[in-house]
Amino acid sequence: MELLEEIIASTLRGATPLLLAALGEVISQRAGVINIGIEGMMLMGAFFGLVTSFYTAELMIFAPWIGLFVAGLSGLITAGLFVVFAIKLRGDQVVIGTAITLLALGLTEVLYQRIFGGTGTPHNIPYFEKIELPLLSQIPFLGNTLFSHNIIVFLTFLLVPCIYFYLYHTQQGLRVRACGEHPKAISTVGSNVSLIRTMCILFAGTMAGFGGGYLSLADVPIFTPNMTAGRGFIALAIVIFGKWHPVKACAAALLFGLGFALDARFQAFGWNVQYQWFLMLPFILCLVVMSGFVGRSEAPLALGKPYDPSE
Amino acid sequence: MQSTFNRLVITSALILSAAFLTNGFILVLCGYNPLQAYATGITGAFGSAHGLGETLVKSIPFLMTGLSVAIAFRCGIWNIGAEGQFLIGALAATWFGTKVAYLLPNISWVAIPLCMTIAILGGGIWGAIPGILKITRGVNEVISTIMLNYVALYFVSAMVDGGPLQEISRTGPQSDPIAKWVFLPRIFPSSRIHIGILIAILLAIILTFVLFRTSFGYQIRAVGEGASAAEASGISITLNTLRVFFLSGALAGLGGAIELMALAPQLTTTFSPGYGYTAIAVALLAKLNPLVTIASSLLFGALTMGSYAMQLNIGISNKVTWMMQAIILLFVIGSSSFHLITKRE
Amino acid sequence: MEEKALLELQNLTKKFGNLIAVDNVNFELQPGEIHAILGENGAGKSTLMNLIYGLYQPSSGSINIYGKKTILRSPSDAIAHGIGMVHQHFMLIENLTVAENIALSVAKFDPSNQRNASDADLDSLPNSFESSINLSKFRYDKSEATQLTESLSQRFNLPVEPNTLIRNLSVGLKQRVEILKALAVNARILILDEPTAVLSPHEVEDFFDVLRTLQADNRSIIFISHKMKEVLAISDRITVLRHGKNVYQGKTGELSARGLAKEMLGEELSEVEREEHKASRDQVLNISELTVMGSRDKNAVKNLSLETHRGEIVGIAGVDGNGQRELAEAILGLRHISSGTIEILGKRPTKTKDIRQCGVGYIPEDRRTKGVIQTFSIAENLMLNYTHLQTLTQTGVIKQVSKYDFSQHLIDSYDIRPTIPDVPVSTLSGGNQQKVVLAREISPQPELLIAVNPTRGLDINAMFFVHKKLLAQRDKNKSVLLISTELDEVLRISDRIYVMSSGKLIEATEHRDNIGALGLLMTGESETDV
Repeated sequence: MELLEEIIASTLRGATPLLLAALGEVISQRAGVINIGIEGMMLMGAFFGLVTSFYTAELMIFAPWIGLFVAGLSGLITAGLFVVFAIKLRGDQVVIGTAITLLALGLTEVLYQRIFGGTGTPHNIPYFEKIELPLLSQIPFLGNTLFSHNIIVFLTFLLVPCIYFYLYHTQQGLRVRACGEHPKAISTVGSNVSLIRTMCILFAGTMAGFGGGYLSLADVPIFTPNMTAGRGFIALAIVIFGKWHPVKACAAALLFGLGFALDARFQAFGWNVQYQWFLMLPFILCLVVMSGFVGRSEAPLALGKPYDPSE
Repeated sequence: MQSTFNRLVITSALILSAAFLTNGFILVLCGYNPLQAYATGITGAFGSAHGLGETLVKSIPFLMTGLSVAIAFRCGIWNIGAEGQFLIGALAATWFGTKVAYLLPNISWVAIPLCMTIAILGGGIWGAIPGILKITRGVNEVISTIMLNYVALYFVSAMVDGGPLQEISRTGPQSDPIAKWVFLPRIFPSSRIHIGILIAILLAIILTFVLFRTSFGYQIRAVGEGASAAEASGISITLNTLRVFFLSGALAGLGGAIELMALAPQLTTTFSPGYGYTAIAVALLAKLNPLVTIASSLLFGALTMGSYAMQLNIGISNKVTWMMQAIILLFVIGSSSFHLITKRE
Repeated sequence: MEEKALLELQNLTKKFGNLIAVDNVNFELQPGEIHAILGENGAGKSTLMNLIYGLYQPSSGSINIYGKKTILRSPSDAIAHGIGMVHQHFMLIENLTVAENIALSVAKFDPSNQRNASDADLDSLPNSFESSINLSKFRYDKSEATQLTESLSQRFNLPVEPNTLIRNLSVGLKQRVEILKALAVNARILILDEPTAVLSPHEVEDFFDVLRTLQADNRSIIFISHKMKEVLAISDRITVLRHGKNVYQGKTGELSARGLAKEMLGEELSEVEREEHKASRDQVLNISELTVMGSRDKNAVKNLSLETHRGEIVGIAGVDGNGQRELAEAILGLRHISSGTIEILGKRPTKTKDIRQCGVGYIPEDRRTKGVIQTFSIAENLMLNYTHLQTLTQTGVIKQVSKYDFSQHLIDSYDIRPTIPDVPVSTLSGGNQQKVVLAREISPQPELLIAVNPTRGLDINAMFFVHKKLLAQRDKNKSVLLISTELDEVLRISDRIYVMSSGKLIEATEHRDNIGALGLLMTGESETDV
């Protein structure tokens, strides 16, 4: 029972950064933009979030909040770069995303070495600690599994219905969905396609930044080079598996979170299985899921195609 | 033809200057002196016979993976998986070099081609997996190749760190050295330059000929530039896509094997510093032309060599090359978004 | 009667670089008028409409609305001034419902803004559509959108089911939704770009009724078309554009169809005459009981049988989307066959490559994406055919000398301009691109040539060129299968005529001179009713 509790709890914790990035990517892909750069945006968020918390450590409990804010901001700024090349210059989104990820890998590592040298990040950086929701955390089983986490976990799962409501029950959400299907059609009724896409990319970048900030600031404050280790790419797979729907994406994120949780558990058990197989698991899962469950017809029709208003 | 070439040289020069400026600006923000850094880098890459030789040596994996990416992109295949294919090629060569080679007579001209063939098959099959997934299940190759990169990375790690290919003494996360007679010969006694460079350049020439002068190359380009028109004319999309996925993987795989057989007699868990990702910048800077890829891979070899010098002398992380590569890539996109990249698809 | 024009264009000019697309055009539109704009493809009709709809900005000249000079910076500006547009390619989002599409159109629209924009002459305005339902600004409420759609439908008597996905609607209904979208934002000027191209003759009649209703409501309509007959039937006035200039403007009926055609082309027509020709009995294509799945898991071709012989052109007429594309693709091996057989000269190849090698030529309907590869040179495009590729290749290597000799020869004999083999095809005009396709597909002398809408988007002279080439194939005792949405074209050059409707073929050669009967067949009436 205790093991089950722990697995469920760590599933939620593992799913949180994936879900943050995936929710942003759902919006961006619904608007027709495939943003591979979220891996890099997450990494930027993770690094600058931690660095900020490190430098504002005297502010005690405010420091991680400022860190998280800066994490989102650095995701946003990185996404701004994506916007310049993908929307303004109408370059290929896959190549731009790859470039941005490379840039983030290089920049964070150069700065990491500059700031922390060979010693690694110190342990006394303020971070988001586990909080136990009053009353709720007292419920047997559920209390430990669902209601004792750091604050970002709760906020992230609260975001799912918000995004759902936005996409399906607001005028703007309707326009976002239309934008990914037939951008020209909505530009002829007076919407600004480039603006919609820009906002969606920026949103995705911010969310990826928060996801990265979670990695470096929640539960344990740490940054290591390339610490996202493909989580941004997994978020892409979650979007596809979740059929571009926020609630289904949430389910998919939980599945991958479970993958990470089991991985950690099995390692701790000291089972006679090499740890690399578990690290590989989420990526194999992605491949299996993509080849088994999703047809090509379900993606937004204009996904990945640069929009040229003069055509 | 002359003017196309001139234009390519001029744009490339502009792209590089802009990239160096931008990168320098970022270095300033990071608290480094870019002039000092670049001077160190240039001296490191070109300042001595040794540096020059190492620059050439370092450009070989870029050329191999760059060719792999160029041929795939020409066919409209977004293969981001050269990294994984490179690793699998090296893994296959390691298996051959540490396990099979000892069963064979120690004759280099038998062992080396065999070892390369195994790596070509390994990389090719690894490269064909996303092709098969794309054709039969409609899986987008961008995502699947990225996923396969991670699978390959952990697979290599599983093999040499605790797995069957780990060194017999089980001390470090690496394999035993491959058999001596599988080593690639060096060209000069005093330098690490090896015959891999000749193989890579020869392949670049052959691929250029294949792309622009043969029926197969014509079909590859037709599928890449206008799939539905090609299909209507009787060119098989499925067949060509699969062939190019394999070819692209094989080139990267061979690249991994060459790297292993010439320089590192052992496979480690950190064997590739991201050659497969850099390859995208290498190929795009060369406008997907295999011959021009020779030049762009030299540039990236020099960048790598320069970054080592910077790390050694100034203490800048050598990952500064990634930053530089990304900036070059972004400027390539910026300069060509009006003609090259938007025209595809 | 000196009425103030609702819309007036004065000396309007639009240049793209050196190209003058619209050249000093003057035009006016009265309230309640249907004004046709007639012109060849490339005459500047679309550019002119994009200027009025705010998608382009004029290089010089002015647009006056109610006598007031107006600058239209974007479609929203145009909408605010009561201008609505129904594009030839529908601007509908297929995966959304009718109500959602209409909501998208209404969302960015502010009625008060529209009133300010044209405050003059309020009495002569049509009754605007005042709905009791206003969509909320922020929330999207499905029931609100449904109610809005229903009340629109009722007000204009254009019934449509609000919660159906657009992709499940027929073409006629889609067009109706487009019109509703424009009416929902109170369009007083409706621009209709080639609206009948996708409709069957029967649907065209219904559509004209809708237009007359709107006219009675005092709305003005700009009707863009190249179909003389329809223009004469529906319009009040006609403006003819040629090479960007307006060469004629007058009341409908002042000029005969022939006179209008002369204005459109600037020269007398040289008709292609089809001479009777005796087809042989030799079978080339034999399709029996063919069923082919279309997109969306429906059968597009249903249990269809057809034979073609040497020395004949078999024409298949029909409205777009009745399975013609699927039929052609199935014959070429580009689409999977559910059941039935296709025999070509007694063989049953299934791969496109093998089918092509049996001697099948193909002129696909979408020239830009399926006919040529835009970034390839003329020479490379001329090789894009398995037969040519094989003859030009020796042990896998393309023989450069043969390649240039071969392409220069085809460029000369098909009069392709420019005449340089290395020029990318993207720089060629539509007519010249089609010549590249014809040269490539006809020069190997295919036993069977399949041509799908081979003249779509071409000017009349290019069209005659294509027709001559197809007739020449027939005279060389080859077999031609012409699939076209242009009934005139099918009638003009085919020896035997079929009508395709809902995936089925009806032999209609005997109705050759009875357009009414053919029209009914095209709308799916069975032959016994005709």
